[in-house]
Amino acid sequence: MSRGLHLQGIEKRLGQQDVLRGIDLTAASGSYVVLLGPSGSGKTTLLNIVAGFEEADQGLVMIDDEDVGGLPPRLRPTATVFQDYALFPHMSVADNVGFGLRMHGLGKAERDRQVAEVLALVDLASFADRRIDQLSGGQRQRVAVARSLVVRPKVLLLDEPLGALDLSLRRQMQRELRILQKKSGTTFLHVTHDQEEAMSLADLLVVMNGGRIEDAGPPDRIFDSPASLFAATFVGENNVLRGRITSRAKTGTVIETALGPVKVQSEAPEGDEVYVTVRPNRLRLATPGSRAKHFLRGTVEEVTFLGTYYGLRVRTEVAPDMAFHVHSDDRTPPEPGAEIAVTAEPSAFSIIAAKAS
Amino acid sequence: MTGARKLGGHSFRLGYVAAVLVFIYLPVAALILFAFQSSSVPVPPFDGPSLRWFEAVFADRRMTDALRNSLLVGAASSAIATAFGMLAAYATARYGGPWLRRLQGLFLLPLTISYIIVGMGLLITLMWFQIPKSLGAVILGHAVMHMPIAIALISSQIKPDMLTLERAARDLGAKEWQVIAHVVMPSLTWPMVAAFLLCFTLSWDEFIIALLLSRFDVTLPVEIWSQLRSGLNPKTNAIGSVVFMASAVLVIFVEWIVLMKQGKQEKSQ
Repeated sequence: MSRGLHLQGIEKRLGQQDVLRGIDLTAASGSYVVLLGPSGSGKTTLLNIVAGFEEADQGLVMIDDEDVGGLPPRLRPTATVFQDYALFPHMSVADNVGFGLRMHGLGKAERDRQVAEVLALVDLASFADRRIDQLSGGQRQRVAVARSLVVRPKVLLLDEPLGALDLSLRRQMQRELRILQKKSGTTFLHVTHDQEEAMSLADLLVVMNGGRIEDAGPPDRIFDSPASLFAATFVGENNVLRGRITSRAKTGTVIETALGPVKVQSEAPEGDEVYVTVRPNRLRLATPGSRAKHFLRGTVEEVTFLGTYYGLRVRTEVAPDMAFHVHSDDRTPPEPGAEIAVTAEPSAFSIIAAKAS
Repeated sequence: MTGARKLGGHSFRLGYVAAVLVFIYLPVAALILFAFQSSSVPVPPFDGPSLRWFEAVFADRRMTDALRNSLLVGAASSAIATAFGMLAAYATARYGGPWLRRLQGLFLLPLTISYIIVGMGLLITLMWFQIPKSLGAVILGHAVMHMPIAIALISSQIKPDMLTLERAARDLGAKEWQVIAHVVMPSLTWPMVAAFLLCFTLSWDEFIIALLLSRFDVTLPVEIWSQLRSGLNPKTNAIGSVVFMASAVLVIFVEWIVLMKQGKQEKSQ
């Protein structure tokens, strides 16, 4: 499969601050790539560098194996869906969607045909003559996507495209974006800080922090065995323990932690100092009186009802400065103040090397 | 006690406002009233109403020529001032490094210079290049004088969200001139209309530059002035009323545009 988008060694400084440091990223053509990170992580700057609104100080931007560095936005095979949509308020829906084709010198008849086609694709065929201020938020969003898709970009860039929509509409638009992406076969590069949105959309999830890529890969891999401490805590709720490897064997690795030794199935990285992570949903409340080996024993501090499960916050005597999160789908969860024991399978844990982070 | 003081303050304020309005508008009212005078001297007692002086104005070739010249000068100079003003305002907003920002100060400088200085400067320059005095020179003079106003008015309406629209246009393949033609100008239509009308109003009753730079083709204020020299005449009242009404209509129109735009913005927020 060809490389739809290839970034290599991207560096960007603004004044004294490193905005982007050593960004390497390769995405297959036709994949849905999501850049996920907190504000200030450099994800929007990276998007702007791909679009050509900003230039990298160093590094290579290639689209379908062609170097697009130095080209102005209008000559790049990209199109952008802006956060506030940036629809032209003085034009109708059809004129907005047809704008790119008009700039590329297409005749009116051909333009009208393609506009009608793409409006049908986003389910807005009957809205062609509407003014922009007559549209709802979700409709504007679809017009913005249509306006960018109609010029057949090789990479469609989406800058927090769902940020202005309310939750239920956002989930619906996520599904629609996903369907549109599959139908058009275009590479999508989507920036968001919503980790749920990121996981549900991405073929390739890229977690960014402080101008670096912390982890990149399929969302399930990042969720189950994150490559960095930041990725482990930013993508979904997690429990993290620092520890030291005391024995390595084929059957598993034993790590000495503040809670005592923990047996872990996954392969151990280089070095002795590690972090052990375990998702709250992989922890089980031990049945009272059970003799099974416990992961931790502690007091329930808080119980939160979260719909399909209860979230428990547990504090231990041996490590009182840490709170642990446990999910329980039991309809009668322990009360706050209850003493509980928690177990976990060795496969529930994953290990991260404790180097820089 | 506070109530009484408030009441006293209230009536004082009303009286003060009334006095100011009378002071400003009484001469205008008198001018318009005696334009309808029936006899040939525009002084009390009023013996009209009569339209004979308006007829006289429109029968006077020199007056109608001056009227036509004024319209031409107003339209041409305002079009130049608005077009260049828009480009200057856009350039300083978009490519405004520290140098250009200093340049904008220079753009606005003519506002602080009196008409007579600019008029004399232009006159000397014309003589230098041996260009005869003409309506064209008046148009140039008015364009120079009024461009700063157009720049200031249009600059204030270039909003940050326009930047994303321009980006979107470039991203979709628009060249710079297409960005200006398809996105910037449509977004600034009403500020440009307002700037044009304001420049037109100022040009409409500008006297000094028009006097210094014109020769045979004169504008309305210059013609009125030369007719006034031969004594008071209700005809000058009549033409003055026409000039005043034209200015008033334009100013009200500009105000209406500004209010309408504000109302629209508030509604959309």
